[in-house]
Amino acid sequence: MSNNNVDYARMKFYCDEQRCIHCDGCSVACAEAHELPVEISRRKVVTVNEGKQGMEFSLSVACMHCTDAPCEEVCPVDCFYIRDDGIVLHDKDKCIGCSYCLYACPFGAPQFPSDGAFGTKGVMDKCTMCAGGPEETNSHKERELYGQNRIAEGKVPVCAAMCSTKALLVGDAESVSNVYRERVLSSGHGVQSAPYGWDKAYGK
Amino acid sequence: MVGIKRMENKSFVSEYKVYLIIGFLFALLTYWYFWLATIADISYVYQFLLQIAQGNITGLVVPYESLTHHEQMEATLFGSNYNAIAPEVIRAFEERQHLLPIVFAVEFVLFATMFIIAKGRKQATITREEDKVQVYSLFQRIVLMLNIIIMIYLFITGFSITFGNWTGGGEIARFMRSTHEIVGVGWIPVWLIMTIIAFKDHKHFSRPSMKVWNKIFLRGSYKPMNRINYYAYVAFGFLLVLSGFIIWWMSPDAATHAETIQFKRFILFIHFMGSAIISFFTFETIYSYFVSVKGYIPGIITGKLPVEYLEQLRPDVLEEEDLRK
Amino acid sequence: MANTWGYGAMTNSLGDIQNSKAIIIFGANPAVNHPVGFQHFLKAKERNNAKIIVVDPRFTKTAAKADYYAQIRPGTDIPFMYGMLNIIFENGWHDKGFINDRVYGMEDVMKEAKNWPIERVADVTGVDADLIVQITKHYAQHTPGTLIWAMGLTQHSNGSSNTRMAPILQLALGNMGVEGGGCNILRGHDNVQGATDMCCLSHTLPGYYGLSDGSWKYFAKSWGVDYEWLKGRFKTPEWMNKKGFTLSRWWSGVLAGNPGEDAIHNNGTNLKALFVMGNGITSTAQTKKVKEALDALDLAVFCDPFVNEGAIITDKQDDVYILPAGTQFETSGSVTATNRSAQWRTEVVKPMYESKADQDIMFELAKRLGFYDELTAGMKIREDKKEYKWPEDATDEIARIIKTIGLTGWTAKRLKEHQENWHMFDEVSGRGYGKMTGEYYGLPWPCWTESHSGSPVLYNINRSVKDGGMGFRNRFGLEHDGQDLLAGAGSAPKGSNNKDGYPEINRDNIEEVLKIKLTADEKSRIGKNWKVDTSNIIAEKCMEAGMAPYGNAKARAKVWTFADQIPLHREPLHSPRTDLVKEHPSFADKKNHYRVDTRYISEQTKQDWAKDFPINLVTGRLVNMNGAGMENRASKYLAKLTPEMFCDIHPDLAGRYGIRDGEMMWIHSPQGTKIKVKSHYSYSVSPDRVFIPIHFAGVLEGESLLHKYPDGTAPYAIGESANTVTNYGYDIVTQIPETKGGLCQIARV
Repeated sequence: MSNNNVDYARMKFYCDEQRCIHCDGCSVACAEAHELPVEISRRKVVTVNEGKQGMEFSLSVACMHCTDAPCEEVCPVDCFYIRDDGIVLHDKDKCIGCSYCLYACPFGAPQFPSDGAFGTKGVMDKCTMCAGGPEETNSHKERELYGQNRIAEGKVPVCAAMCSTKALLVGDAESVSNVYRERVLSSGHGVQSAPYGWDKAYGK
Repeated sequence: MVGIKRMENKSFVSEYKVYLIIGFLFALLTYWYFWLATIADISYVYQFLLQIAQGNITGLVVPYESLTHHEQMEATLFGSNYNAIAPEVIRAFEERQHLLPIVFAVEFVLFATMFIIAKGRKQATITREEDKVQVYSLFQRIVLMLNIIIMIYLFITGFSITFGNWTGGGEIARFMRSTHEIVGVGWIPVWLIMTIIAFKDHKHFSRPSMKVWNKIFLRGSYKPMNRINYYAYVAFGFLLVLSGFIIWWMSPDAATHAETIQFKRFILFIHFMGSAIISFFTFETIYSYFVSVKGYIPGIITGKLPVEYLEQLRPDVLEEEDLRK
Repeated sequence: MANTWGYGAMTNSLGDIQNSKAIIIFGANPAVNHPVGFQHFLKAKERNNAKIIVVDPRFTKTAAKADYYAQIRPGTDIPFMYGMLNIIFENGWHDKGFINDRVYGMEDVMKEAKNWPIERVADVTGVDADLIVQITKHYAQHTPGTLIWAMGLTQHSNGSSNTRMAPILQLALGNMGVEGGGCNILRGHDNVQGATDMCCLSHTLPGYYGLSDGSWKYFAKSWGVDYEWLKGRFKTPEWMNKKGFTLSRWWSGVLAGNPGEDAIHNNGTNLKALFVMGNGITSTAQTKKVKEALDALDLAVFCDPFVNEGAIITDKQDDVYILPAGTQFETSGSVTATNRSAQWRTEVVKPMYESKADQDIMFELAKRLGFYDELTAGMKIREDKKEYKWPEDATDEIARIIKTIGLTGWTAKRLKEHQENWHMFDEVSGRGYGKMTGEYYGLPWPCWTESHSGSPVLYNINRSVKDGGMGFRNRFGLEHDGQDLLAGAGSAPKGSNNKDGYPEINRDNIEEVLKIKLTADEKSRIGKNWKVDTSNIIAEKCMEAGMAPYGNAKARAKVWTFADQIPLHREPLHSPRTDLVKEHPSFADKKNHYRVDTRYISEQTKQDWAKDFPINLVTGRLVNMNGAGMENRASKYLAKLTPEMFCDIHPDLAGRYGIRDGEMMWIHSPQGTKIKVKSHYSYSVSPDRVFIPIHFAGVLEGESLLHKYPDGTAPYAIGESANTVTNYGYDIVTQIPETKGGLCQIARV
């Protein structure tokens, strides 16, 4: 879907199942970078049809940052906000931990630590596409609550940055589809002269 | 609603009037909801229920191998059949913030109308204040008080969650939500005991010692509407207890998400439905015992009620053997 | 492999795999063990339409990306490859010209291949005959094809035959010495290639010089240490040339003399002390024997950043020391990658708390043991200085001395330059551009001189020697059985003075072979041969002449010094096919095999193992763990992914034994040991085998050892060690343990 808004990117994830090898580099990188509690899996990798020839594949999943995010729709305290570039974020101070967003999410992105008394749920935590939260950008509080804000520093979200085989792509929807299109179209065209994008990086 | 009528020379309809009315309204509600209003896939829900009965709670109602590659990916990663139930749940979340106040307003109007038709409040004239009988044992009073306090708390905190758009979230709202869960779990034994002791229809069975019996089971008999309130409390309380317990116990966990989320959506929906319906019958109960009739508040603490009060307003209680003078 | 053509290392590189048109993988799992490097496989598949063929006992993550998958019975790779060769020779798909010019002994292989018709191969390997034909046809007809292997091929009692069979297959197809071809053995741990090159092994001096007097004298001279002093370090002089114990059997050195233990030849004494430095000693086969040996030692020292679990499994209370070593981030130096290239690493943080970098620990030990001066002399000798600079002087010392694999060009200065300019190299070919023109990234050895470019693709005669080309090494003499062992006419590297095969260069033949004349000064300084030429004149002259100092010979398919001159199939010591054990028995027992009498045929025929232990035991790695796992299991996120030791088991097999998914189960070994693990239903294994990962420790035969960890050092995840149940079995040449082809029995708890 092309982005009609010329002023902003439309940030998206894409995981190429032809390349994902379930190395879990993305999920561990995310947990390390944002110092998550062990029970939270902002990103996880799942293998489908394990052991079955011709049918096994793996995919890395986290929040898909939907345009019509159902989590944002159902939240009783309206703690979500969607950035102009499509990244869906929420305010942990407002969140009451009712987990309706989890029920509404098609992808199971919202996570809840069981750190309350009698095992009751804490506030929701989910993939932020490394874009932090409503606190002041790159402040200590933002870091504590939401993890790194890499987007504000112009860096790639850490999961895609760490992907071993570059199965996981993230960025403006058009850039992501260009990378993937290039990958598909170059099939059978022989060895590349330089990795994708190196001409921009190193002026080759 | 109105006093006891004598049982002779009454037609079927007039005798079971209340049941028929409530039954009809319920059928209407069910028809409206499940056939007209819902966007859930009813045939899927039916098949899902069958699967649950066989122990399969994943939400898959066809064999996994029969799914397409894409559907298998969906089912394994995200949980199956998202579109069958989730949109209804989303709709429920969204709409109740707008619809519930209207529903409660309508219910309020209904009760106000009934009040007007009944021409106000019935009261007992008490001349002999000191002439009391012990109606409620200590045990019964504790259970009743607990039930009342807990249900009030659950209502308040439940509304706090639902109407988060008023509370605006934050520390207090969070506390109310988390205590709603815990207090709700704590309500389970209270509800269970309440269910047992409020079963006044046990009079149809033979029973041993009256003295012990009446210390446990509440005295008196049910008028039709009260009976309906009781059974609604049991039925929808059960649904709330079961669904609430499952919601609390099946904590969100990324590893088991895909296998459990469909079931949890369904259960959450049951919880909402149960709470909405039980709220009507709770209002009815309050209306019956405290609004349409002036209640004797001190009685809930001491357990003693004036004989005249009972003679005028609750003669069914006086019919109990051990209280008959 | 070294016995086939001269060097035993990955012949091409990971990036070069993108040039392949077909990739066949025997007993390797790059998707799990080289996840980033696996990109090259995937790109070959995407861009080059290269088909990936996986031959593995279980359906791994690599197999999931493969186009052809053969679920082979463990230990039957030789029949599989003979089956392939039979089809290849019958159809004339072999590269006759290549074999004629550059291979010796292929006729014997052709003869043996006739013994392996397809039906027999299918019976022995368990792979469908049609599939073998399909795989062979595709692989033979899509060249260049690259052959990948790793522990799945090497960790067998006939692993050294396996690792000759694969090169033979590649030689037959002419896939050697070409881009996109080669034998690409995937080395695992960080800098294991470097450790191998420095020969942290008991049978050779660094750089594969062996233990002959000549080698010792060369090193004594190069290190600036008195040869007699070195000789005096040994109990008696002849022990200087004898191979020592291996990592897989050191424990025999401790336990010898106990009932049932193999005898040793250690000059009448047992091993008394053990110093473990950066080694997961719980990941060697026969964990219970390791424990027994640790208990019996006088002194045990463990030197690691995390508590080495050897200190945990032992019951020894006294004289057990744990020394905190720094990690690779707390020191600088060069490391060698699987493709023979070096990279410079810079210290990121100083060693923390009481940790010391490895070299400092060794220096402190040397000081106290009284040979610090001798140990460090080599770093100061060239510039005759008083103080050495670590690590640059150590790197330069290596470059100065090691000529066998051509490390001459690996000066610290050049390696650091590569580190600073690592973006200026091509991903696939490794070729540098801009400032780095004329060099390949990491200067893959052999890098003959200080200006040589490095050799990314071994044995490639389509390039000049200056540009990394070369023929096969002349390592096995000039002729055998009347046949010429030098390469055929016209098959020399491009731009060579000598267009034919030529011997390895030494002082006596240099002028004749290179067709040059030396000056008197050069003649006085030149070394005896290219391996000990301190002056480096031989290498320099060879570069000018466009010739490789190590000669240009034929690769040999026949190794006349081995027990099996051409690879022959021998069943694993513990085989599920008792009928095949009779037809293809193992080797005769070997005395004094790295000082230990090692059993082969006596173990194999001791009893009908398959009767009581009918299930094949397959071991392997997990992507989130490494080696003995002590580091990864102490990382909470990695431990979370696999918090418990488990066993992949097919539901049908589990059903037969009444084992539910997620239930605990016992695995019993023929050695009488057992482990208690969690069952995990999986279709990746067939119902005749189970899979267990190798990374766990901290539980021994059902008993938790958690209480034995010092406070605060216990990892998040502990579990049974797979090697408690891996079977007795060691390779006939290298003594590598047979962990990839054993038997077991399972039972529900």
